[in-house]
Amino acid sequence: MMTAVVEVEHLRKAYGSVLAVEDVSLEVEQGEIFGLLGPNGAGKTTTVECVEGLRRPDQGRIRVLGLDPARQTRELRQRIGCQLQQAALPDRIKVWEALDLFASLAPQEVHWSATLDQWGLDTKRGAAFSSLSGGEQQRLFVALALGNQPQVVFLDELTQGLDPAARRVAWDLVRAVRDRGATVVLVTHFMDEAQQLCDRVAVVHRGRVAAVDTPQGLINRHGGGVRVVFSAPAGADVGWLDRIPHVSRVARHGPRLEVTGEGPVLAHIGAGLIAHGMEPADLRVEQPTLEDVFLHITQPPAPEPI
Amino acid sequence: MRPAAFAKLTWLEMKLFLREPLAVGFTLAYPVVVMFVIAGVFENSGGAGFRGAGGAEYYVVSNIAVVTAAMSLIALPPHVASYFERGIMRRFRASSVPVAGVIAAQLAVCFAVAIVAAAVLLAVARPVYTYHVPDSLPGVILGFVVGLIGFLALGLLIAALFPTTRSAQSVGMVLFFPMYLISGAAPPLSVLPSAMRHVADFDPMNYAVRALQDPWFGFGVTATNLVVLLGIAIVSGAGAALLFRRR
Repeated sequence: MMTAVVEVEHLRKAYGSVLAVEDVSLEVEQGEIFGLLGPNGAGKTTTVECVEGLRRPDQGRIRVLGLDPARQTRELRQRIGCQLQQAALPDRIKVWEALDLFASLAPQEVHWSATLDQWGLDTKRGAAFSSLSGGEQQRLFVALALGNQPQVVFLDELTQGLDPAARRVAWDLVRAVRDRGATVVLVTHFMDEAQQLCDRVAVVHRGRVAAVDTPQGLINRHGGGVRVVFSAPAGADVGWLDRIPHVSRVARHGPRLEVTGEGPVLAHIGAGLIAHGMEPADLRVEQPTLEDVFLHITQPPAPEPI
Repeated sequence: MRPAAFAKLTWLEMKLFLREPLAVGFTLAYPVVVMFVIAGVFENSGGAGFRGAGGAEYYVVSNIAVVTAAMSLIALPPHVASYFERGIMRRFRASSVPVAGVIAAQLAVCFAVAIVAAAVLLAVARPVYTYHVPDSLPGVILGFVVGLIGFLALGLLIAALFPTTRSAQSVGMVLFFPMYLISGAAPPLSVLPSAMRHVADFDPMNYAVRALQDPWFGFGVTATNLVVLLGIAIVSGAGAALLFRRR
């Protein structure tokens, strides 16, 4: 039996006349990596900031570890860790000074030297914050967010400004955080990141949750099926393709055939090709990705080509 | 916020202050330089125009108020504003450090540095210029502390009203120099044209200067100076608190 560590019900938040979050409800379960995926301005950060107790919602009910972020802010802050999207430290603060200060805020004793090594900042111990690269600053913020050994960690655009290698390292560290028993809420607009890391993803669009599921579940439901692509000589009879089980659509672009279908469609097409004496060398399959899901949900359908 | 954490934050803020050349320059060096130049120029003057004090003595004492004003109007506003503008305050808040805690630490640093800067000013003037010990030392200390409280509150109000670092810094500078010129710490009030002297009645720095001069030169503790400075402290402090809360 899973227990929800974050519960949000009908959250609404406006800044003046701008409605940032219209109606968001979601539940994050103990021990999962939960992704909030959406385009810029969808309301992801506002949602998370309300959950963290940094902003007061206009309407709705929020509970984090059973606490109300707006009223039990202090108790909550001891038990969560936040890496914020737009945050900074004083330019001239040194890495060790920041870790030392934030460690002193934790309810329990924290050995920050270990954190320094873990996040690859040991060589930057005495460096000023402003002299760090974007990636180093980001790693420092995550190290600070984890300083109090939080039960829930919020990471907002964690890999913003990191190079590809540093992103992989950051992903491994997020998994390590979860493996130590923390629940992770990850805000991102990178599809690959959500697909790689998240156990479940909520797609946020225009201040609402458009869909929640595992990445694979979202792909199955909203990805638009598997596409099988191969070449066939002009004049070859491919009429049989329409009768193959699970095929939903066949399209021909010159010598190239595109067959769209669901589930085990690939195996059936393969069998059909052999049975009809066709052995295309360029047969390949395009699995839908989270990106297809995202575009499907967040963009109005393109008009059908005539 | 626990006392140990607050102490650590305050110590860190102190180190950050000392790493900021503009802040250190304007609070520790600038008043000393101005004092040396102007006290040197008027060393052989003195008397009625200088409230009965010697020319050099007049400027040694008055420049303590320059420390207060430079600290509060030039060093403090951009520092506080940058914390809000750059998301430093958000970072602290998200880790259980309340905004009030950060500002309290910054004010504690300002207080400590202002005391040191005033002591440095008096110490370096000692071998060069003659000045008498204050007529009323408790009165001088009271005037210094009240002046500092009033001006630091004014500095916070600037930081609250002008949310970018650049604007807070510019406004602080723009206020500081005219305030200084008619405060009595530059030309004595006795030589100002009467119209300008009326304007000086609205110059907060004028009251900070007199809150030091009056008890030092034997005019006693003047209630007007302290009341005006405390009034500025209350109004500015309340305004700043209100504006910071809305962020």
